[in-house]
Amino acid sequence: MTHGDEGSGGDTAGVVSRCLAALVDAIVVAGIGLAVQFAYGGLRLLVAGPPFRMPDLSGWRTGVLGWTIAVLYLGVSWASTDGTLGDWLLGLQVTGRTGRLLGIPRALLRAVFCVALPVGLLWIPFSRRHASVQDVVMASAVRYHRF
Amino acid sequence: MTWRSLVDPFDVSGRLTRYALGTAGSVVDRVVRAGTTAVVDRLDLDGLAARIDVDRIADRMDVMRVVRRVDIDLIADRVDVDRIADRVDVNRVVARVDADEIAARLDVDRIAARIDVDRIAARLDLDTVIARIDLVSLTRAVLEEIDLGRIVRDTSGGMAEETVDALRLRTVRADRMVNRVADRLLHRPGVAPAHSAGHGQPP
Repeated sequence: MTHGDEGSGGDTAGVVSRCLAALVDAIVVAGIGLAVQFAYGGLRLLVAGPPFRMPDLSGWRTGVLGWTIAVLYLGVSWASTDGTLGDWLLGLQVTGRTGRLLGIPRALLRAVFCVALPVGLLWIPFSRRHASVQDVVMASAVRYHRF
Repeated sequence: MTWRSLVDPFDVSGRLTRYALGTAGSVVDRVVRAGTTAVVDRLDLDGLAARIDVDRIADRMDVMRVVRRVDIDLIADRVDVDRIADRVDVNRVVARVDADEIAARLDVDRIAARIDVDRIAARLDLDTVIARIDLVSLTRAVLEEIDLGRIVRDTSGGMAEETVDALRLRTVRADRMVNRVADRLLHRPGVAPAHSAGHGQPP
């Protein structure tokens, strides 16, 4: 087995592509969090009347909300379409080592690892098969897909 | 008339003389008519006309003298131009005009060279012309005709696709460069990337 040859699919993606994809996904998650807060404010405006106010969340609640959104976004994206928006933009595909789509539990667990330990991406250059820590733990792979 | 006049020699001679003159006149008329008819019958008018030298007659005519004696103003005053115009069949005249031949003989370049475009442009009242144009309808019709929306969609879609492709290619190159550096640092031999069917080859 060579690095970059894991089951079906193209070459295994490198650290630059995956970091950029993660950056795009972080922006998307921030946008979703903002949209959720706007939606909450709008709902409260409809129920309680004016003025319109954004929810004033404490630090840990904001963290939990962001963490939850990120896990759900990443896990559902990987399980349903083999990639997030950042993966699509960078032409990447997240699958199991055999090339199959990740199941929902596995995808959610991988998302938890990714959000909890983002520096795991830095293991990629040192891995023979260019796997991050999350890939090693979850037996997943990220490959170049859309070329 | 009395018996005396019947026997009067003067009267008798007078009557006889008048009778003789009348008879002689009618005889002379008949003779002249018969002679004239005979002469006309024997005349060869065609031969006579053929022997007339028209050119010589024309040479001897002083046309200018005739022209000088013509009073043009008097003739012009007596001409009824309206009546002449009424009798002219314009449609028939136009039908006989060969417009193609006239157009072929026209030197359009020479005519165009003599046109002073600046002078024409200076006399144009463009504001009035523009005010009479329904620019909104015209613009809408032009946009519908060229389907600008489709062009914008195609162009923007193509540009976005090219941008994304360029981004992907650059990141793949960066990945490969990082991998080579890592291989060198770890003294790991570089391995050629494997490709499977259905996927493109990154550069």
